[in-house]
Amino acid sequence: MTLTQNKIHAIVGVAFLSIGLAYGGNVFASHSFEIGTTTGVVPDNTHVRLDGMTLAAGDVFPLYDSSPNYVAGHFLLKAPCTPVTDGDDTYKPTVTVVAGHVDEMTDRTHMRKIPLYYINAVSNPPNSCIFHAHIPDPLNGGSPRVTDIDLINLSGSPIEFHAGDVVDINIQRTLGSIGTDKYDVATDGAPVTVSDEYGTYNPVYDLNDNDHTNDGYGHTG
Amino acid sequence: MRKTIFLLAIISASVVSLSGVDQAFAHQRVDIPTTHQSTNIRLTVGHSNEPAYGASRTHDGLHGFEMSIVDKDTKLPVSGTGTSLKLDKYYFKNVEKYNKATSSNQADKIDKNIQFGSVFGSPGTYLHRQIVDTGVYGYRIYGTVSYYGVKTIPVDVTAFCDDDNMNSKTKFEIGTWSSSFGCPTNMDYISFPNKPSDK
Repeated sequence: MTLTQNKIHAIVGVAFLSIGLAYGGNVFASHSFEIGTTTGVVPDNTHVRLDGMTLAAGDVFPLYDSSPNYVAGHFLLKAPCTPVTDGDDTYKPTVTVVAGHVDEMTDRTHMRKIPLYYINAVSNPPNSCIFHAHIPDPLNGGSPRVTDIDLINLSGSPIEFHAGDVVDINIQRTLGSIGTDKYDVATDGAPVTVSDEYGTYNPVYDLNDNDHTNDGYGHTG
Repeated sequence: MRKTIFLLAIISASVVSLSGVDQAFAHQRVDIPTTHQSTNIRLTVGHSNEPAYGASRTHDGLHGFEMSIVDKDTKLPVSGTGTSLKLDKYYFKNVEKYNKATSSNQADKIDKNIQFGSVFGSPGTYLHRQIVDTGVYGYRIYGTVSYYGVKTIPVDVTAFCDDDNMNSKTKFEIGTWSSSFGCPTNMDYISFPNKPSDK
């Protein structure tokens, strides 16, 4: 029996997919700790459109939950933005991104703001800016073990998202189980912390401006 | 059609075999501060394919000394250029000789300055291949670990395997270790029904 053209196409397609899965591809990251995929692990991608949504003041919008596993991956946000300080060429999102673990028990919950990197080349402030983050980020802060990622509106007024606003979360590796490596309010601090030196907004780093005090740690190149 | 299914099966099997890289895991760990904020690295060491048995007629004794290095809080592997580690090995033929010793330098066999290399394709994992005999093994790991290029951490720790009959497991150890990994024993102990001692 000879193979039909369709079958050959199918086999070639599966073969390419196989090679891709087996070798995982190269990862070009700005952070030395971002390990990317490993053989045998298929990345889990979550794409959430925000366009047309209005998030009321004080409201929470859950984006991702991988409990009981805490994970490593990459986070992208396109959202309305405002200068970090008046006149600054680095922007922060008006919505706040938090990550960590939301547990049924409050004392086992640990949610912190995540450090964001402002990507000016593809941003259109103040209408919409693009931010990246590394999940988790051992050098710049945030919760060390992440099962949950949420948006919170702490701006004090409703946030209207625009066409094209989106969150994309690419999870590349499971690092462990939150059942084994629990948070404990006694040793890890308050369940939720959203106010610090950056106010209620995320810390934002910018590798492309002249201010190198906001580069953060761990980038290469 | 059968050929097509056969080819797909072969391709699928090759994916499974390429991707199914198992990591044996060891059981004694030590945390070392990085001096970057309050972070620590965690070294976890032990013999591969535990429990370890000495080489015999029925067992190859292939139990390498393996180590993983992770960021303690996130469990992200710590790897990259700037990490350079060496290994010293100590071997006592039996627990009695270990118990009598007052220094690790009284070991029956010492091997020093072994390059402790990382496992290709497995960030933060190190392996020294060896075939073991029954007895007490100790390992000194020393050198530097690069913490994601931000800090270079000096490392000098020593771990010994664990045996119930030791008078002190920690007497030659350096570092504040938790848990333990077993010393290689005689595989005949798990033989059934014919233990050599019964013959």
